[in-house]
Amino acid sequence: MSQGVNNNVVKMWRLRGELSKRHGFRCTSCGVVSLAQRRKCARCGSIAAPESAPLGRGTIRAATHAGSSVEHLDQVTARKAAVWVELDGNAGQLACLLQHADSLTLLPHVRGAPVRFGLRRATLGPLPLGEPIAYTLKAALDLRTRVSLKPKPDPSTKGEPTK
Amino acid sequence: MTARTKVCLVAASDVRADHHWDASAGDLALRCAGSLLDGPFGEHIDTVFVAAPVLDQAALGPVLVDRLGLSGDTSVYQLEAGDGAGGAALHAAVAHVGAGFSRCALLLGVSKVADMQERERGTLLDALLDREVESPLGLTFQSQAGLLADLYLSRHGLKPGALAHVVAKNAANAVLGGETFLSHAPTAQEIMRDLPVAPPLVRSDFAPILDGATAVIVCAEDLARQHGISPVMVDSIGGGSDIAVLADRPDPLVFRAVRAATARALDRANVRLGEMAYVDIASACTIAEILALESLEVTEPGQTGARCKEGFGRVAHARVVNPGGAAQGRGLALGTCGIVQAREAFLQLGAGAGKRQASAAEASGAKALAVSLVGLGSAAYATVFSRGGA
Repeated sequence: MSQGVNNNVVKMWRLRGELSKRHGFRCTSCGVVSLAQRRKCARCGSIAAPESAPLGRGTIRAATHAGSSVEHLDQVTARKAAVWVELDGNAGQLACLLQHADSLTLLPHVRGAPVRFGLRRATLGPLPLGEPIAYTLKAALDLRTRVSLKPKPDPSTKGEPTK
Repeated sequence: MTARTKVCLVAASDVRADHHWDASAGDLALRCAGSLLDGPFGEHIDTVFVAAPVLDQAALGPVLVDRLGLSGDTSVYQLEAGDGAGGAALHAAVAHVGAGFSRCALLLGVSKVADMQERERGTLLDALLDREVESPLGLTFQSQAGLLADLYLSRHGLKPGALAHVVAKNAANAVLGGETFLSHAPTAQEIMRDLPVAPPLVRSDFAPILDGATAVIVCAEDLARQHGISPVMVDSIGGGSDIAVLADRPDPLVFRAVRAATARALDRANVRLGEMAYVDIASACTIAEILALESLEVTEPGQTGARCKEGFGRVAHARVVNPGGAAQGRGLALGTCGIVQAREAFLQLGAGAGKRQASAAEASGAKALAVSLVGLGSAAYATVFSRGGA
């Protein structure tokens, strides 16, 4: 079941346009923001037409790094750091990947950290020759937060970071 | 809202979830349902309901009906609802027979995935996400389940090990029943040391996706009585649904589809949850089972792991959950779960389930609840079964 089968290509590109603006659909009644356009608001049930609205910022409430395990063999594919973000202003929630090449190292410390959203490469690392580069919406930690989460150099180990 | 005709289960068969390298989907259907067709109800089958996720063979139903030698006067319907396809097909069959449009229906679930590349098989569950919203964000089924589990642990102030007792319970029941891919029942301590897949979830939290097939014959009660059989009754069915995008649910840790489906099924059967001899939850990962049980108030919020540590849910306990071991214990033949639950009810409330028999299910008039989830609770199918009288 490929991703393109069930969806409309034009709509997907338009949605991508919304993502590139880091916008979602905001309920004009309760203010919750969603990436899905619905007849009724998922939170308050309002049928008023939603408006395009920026996703704003949020706080990480949960985190994982998921690979794909195959059966009962010891095989796990490349891991991606995913986070559950509570949007500021009681504007709902969003699950997405975490930006940054060192996201797996940072992951155990990110709960409660503030994030903004950015359009970044979906896949980190090299791509097969000729493959297009896919972009998607990701949660990005502030530089100050990232610096504070980085392992500190340990003087006793001649500058090697502490674990 | 009640069926015009009373509906019951009169026969069941199973090809255990495993690698069946030598078998096609048609072969699995034949191995599973062949003996049922040779039995006393074979000649009465007028409709076939097939549960199968759409892979490379569209309209698998007519192909399987062909292989079973039922082509011609037999109606065939195929239902696709991801890992909940079996539950959807069961409900369609029950509604069909209950309304009088069929007198005897064969319900068949077949999963043939062993020939797929391992990575493709591992990502089959990703198709259960909202492909328009969640998949383009790079999320997978495992990552969504991992996020749910992390939210669950943070809300209730638990350690990751709390989930391991639920897996250990399923494994113990499965090994006791003898229908499992597991060589032994791992302890919670062993499970805690398992390979992390989507922390806090480990490999054992996700059911391995295997080949398999299960078949059940659903028919009108009067037909069963004509054959002198004391059947297992299908008292009621109920369905429910929820917001497909997990993050858009008002509370992602409450499975509203499970609640709604079960409330409808119990209400239609005029019974209470506490009257059930056992509860069977079909899901593709542990956190879904936990949230389903807590949404039903079978266990208190945040307490499922602790209860399982005390023995709750095991076959020997007063309150049994998943006596067959569920997909985590048996292996997941994708799309067959709802039919596997019907077969379990047929054994537990009828013919006998051997070492995994729940003692409360042996009582006269005993009832059981089966809930089949779609993905991480976007839909659910609840069924109440009961032991039929003589």
